Amino acid sequence: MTFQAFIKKLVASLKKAVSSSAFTNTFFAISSGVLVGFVIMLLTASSLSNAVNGLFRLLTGGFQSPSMLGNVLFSAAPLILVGLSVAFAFKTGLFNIGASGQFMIGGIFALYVANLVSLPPVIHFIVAALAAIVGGAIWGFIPGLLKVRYNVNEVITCIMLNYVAAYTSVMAVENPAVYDRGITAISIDYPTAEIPRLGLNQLFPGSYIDMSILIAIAVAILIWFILKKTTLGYQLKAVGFSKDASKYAGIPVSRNMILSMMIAGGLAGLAAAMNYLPANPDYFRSFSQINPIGFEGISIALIAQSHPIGIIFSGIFISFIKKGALLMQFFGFNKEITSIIMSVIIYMISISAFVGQFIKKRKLMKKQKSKLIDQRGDANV
Amino acid sequence: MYSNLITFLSLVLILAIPLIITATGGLFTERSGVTNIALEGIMILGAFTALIVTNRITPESVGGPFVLYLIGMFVAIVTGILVSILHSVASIKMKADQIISATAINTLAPALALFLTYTLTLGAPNDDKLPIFSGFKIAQIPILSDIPFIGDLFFRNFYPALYFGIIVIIAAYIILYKTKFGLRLRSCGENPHAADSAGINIYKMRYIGVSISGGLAGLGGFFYITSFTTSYHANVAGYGFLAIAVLIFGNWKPLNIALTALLFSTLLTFAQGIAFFPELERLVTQTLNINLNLISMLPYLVTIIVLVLTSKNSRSPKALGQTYDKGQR
Repeated sequence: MTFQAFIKKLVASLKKAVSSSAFTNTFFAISSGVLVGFVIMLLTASSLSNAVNGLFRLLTGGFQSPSMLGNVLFSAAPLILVGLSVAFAFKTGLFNIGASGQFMIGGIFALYVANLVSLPPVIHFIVAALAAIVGGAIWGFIPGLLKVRYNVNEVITCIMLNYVAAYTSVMAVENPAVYDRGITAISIDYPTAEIPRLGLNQLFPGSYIDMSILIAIAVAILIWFILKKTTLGYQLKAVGFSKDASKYAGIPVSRNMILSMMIAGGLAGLAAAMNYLPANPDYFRSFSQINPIGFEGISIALIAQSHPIGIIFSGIFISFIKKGALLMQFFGFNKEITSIIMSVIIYMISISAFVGQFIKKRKLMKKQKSKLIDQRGDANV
Repeated sequence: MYSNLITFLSLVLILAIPLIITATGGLFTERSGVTNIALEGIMILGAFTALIVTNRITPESVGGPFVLYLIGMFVAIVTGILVSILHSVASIKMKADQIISATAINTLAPALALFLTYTLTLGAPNDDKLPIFSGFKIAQIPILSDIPFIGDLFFRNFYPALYFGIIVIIAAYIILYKTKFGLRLRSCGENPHAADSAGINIYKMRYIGVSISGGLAGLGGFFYITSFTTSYHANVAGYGFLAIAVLIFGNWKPLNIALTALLFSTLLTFAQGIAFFPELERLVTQTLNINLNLISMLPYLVTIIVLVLTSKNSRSPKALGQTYDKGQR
């Protein structure tokens, strides 16, 4: 295939995606989310101009400087990967509400390898990231196994394992071998394990950006490829549609369900590596609380309707309005407005299929009506 | 020793109540065939509005803290029902995925509470916390509190929530198993098409099921925050999700739910309340040399293990989570 042909094909598929109902639904959902957010701001603001300024900051803050845009992309990487984790399980009919736990365990694995193993640069990072994937996959394996072997609902195992992960990570953080008293978190002194920046920080001067966003995008494409083009992906989706039919067709249902939860866990673990290994990382402190990122992952997956490529955009979008919300605080608005907007978007997406059908029906009826009138008109002539 | 035991047991009871009430709410919605993982969000919002109202009213003006408590309960229940309608309209009428609309509510609830508290200065200026009135505890009931043991546990220094919890369990049992309505509700979660052909309005039953769960979850949220915390930060510590776990663990049966919640809260009290019992703490941390975080994990690990051991008997409502479509068959 020539390059031109490839571009043509790409443009054609993009056009198709944009004109699809899923895209318009998402577009309307996002618009209504922003609209509701604005109305709430109007109702609570001290003045109209304050609300307008706040909304303007919310929607443009992420673009306001190259460093801001760089940071939007930087923070988007873990969000995209957690979103993929939830979406992947969704595709196989499982609800991974345990991404938070998998994320925490993955983070511990990554930071332990980063702190306690010495390897040359880049290789050290790769090994730490792989360790994070293994950690998350182990945490995803448990609900998968219990589901197929003992018929235990994966939702409840995941919820319980989130708590277990929280307390496990407290113990892991307070281990003197890795604990840094100065920052009251796991030591961040691991120069060789840092995520390579590939000069992206020159493209977005002053930002924290590194190659994590590229990794996240590549993984999203890989997941899309697995689900769309491989036998494994076909089998996983078949199990998601109907367990019994898959079994009848000779698909190893149990193995696929466990595998799906492990891949989902691995993705959440990788997200943690992207979160804790940058040159300016999040600190892993000893809170005995569940990291809320797994729940954000559910939202991100749902906004993209579990489409891996869509998740790249929904992850960046969420990161974008989160940054905008921070700037909006200068106008006296609480940054929680992002979650309010997010919830409206999710809600609108959940009902969009129904609303879409309703509108289609109305249009069809109108058409038939006008047709009838036309026919009558013809008869009169 | 005796007073320690009483403290421990009353903590167990008061911890179990919000779980029991919320899980019983979950029971009604799931028995009607609709999952509702929005219980967490509904608890948060129920507690939020109840607090706004009870913080505005002085107990003297309405005739005592108990009346104020009742007002708070009423507001929490109404809020819960209203919020749950968001879920039922989407998942019953608009045939949305039940997980998705519930996730929207869970995302909305803490954000809305924090946003409004901060922006409208409902608490202290520039703060997103709300204070909680601390005088709801009833000191003692005369005569009854003199009964040994029982009197100390149930009639001295207790929250009214305790009795409402017991009422809810008994009522749930009677409604589900001894009334026509209960039979109809359960049939909607088992085989809605058969129920429909028997003349039951599936949509109506499911609306009612979800609304009951909303009301009870709102109430559970109010009980949770008034019993444990001194300030509210749009947070019920994952109790809504734990309630769903208790519901599944209790095998979708009211009495089992109560027992499961008590078991869970015993472990939770042991894990979180160990600091109240210095002798026990010394035994665990020094003599046995166990990390307290391992103790904290215990309730969650035990739940998983018990589920593994008992799951052979576990049976969820058959039509749970499926959208009902009249024309499907």
